[in-house]
Amino acid sequence: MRKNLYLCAIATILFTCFFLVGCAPSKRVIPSLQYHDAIGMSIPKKAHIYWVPGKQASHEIPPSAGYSGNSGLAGLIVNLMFTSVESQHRKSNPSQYVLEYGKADEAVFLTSLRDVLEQQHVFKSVDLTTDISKVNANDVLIKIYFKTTRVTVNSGYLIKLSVNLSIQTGRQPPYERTYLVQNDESLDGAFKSKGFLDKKTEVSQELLTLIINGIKQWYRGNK
Amino acid sequence: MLDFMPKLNLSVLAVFSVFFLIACTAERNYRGVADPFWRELSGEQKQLIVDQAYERDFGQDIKKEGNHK
Repeated sequence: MRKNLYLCAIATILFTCFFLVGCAPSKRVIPSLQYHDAIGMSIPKKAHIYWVPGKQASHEIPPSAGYSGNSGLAGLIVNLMFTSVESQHRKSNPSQYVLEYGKADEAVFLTSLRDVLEQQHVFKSVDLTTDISKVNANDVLIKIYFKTTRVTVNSGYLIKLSVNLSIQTGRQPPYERTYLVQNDESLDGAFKSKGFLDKKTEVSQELLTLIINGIKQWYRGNK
Repeated sequence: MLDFMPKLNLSVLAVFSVFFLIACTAERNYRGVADPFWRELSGEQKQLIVDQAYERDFGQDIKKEGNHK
């Protein structure tokens, strides 16, 4: 019986490690994005980036199968502890069990876009706005609508973003484009070690390039 | 046969309550962003999320009130 007691104690120590590792802070929001190519245009107008978040479809990590290290009474107690603590932890800390491309990632994306446009002096000035009514009619309004952000997990992480870009200035009709971006799941075999954050960053980087190309096209069309 | 039970119960209960304390430390949520994500954002990004949520929740009402005045 004493053996069971020791096993219980060892299992509980392992659980503590498991939860503490689970609670340990690790980077989960995309880092600031960079754009190294020259954009090569200069528009003497103020620009405002207007963000509209849309629907987010996330993937919930399924609960673990439980503890199966020991049979008998001690094993039963440990298993009961494990499942109850895990379910409570899931309820209290949902973000640790959900994979998503969320509002935090979108906010980082927008500040990155603003920084790139500012660094390359594309506009006279660029700011982020949440109130469209404050935008002057002669300024450039760049509306970025994250229609859907979807995360699924099959053989690997699959992140799909559907983003609508709308650029308007003065009384001109708005320039509108919809971009569908997703990471290549087929690459998972070669880059299986790449984590979810890396995939999110890749997709965001691709989206940033598309949005900047969209701004370039709009500029050429309005020259 | 059950003489180990008080010891076992005591130790298991003690550890179980510690675990429950860990499990019950619920994460906070700021305008739809969970605390672990929120802490990684810069002040400007946090402000953007707050402003956007405010505009979505109250922007229309404030504009309507302004128009009535």
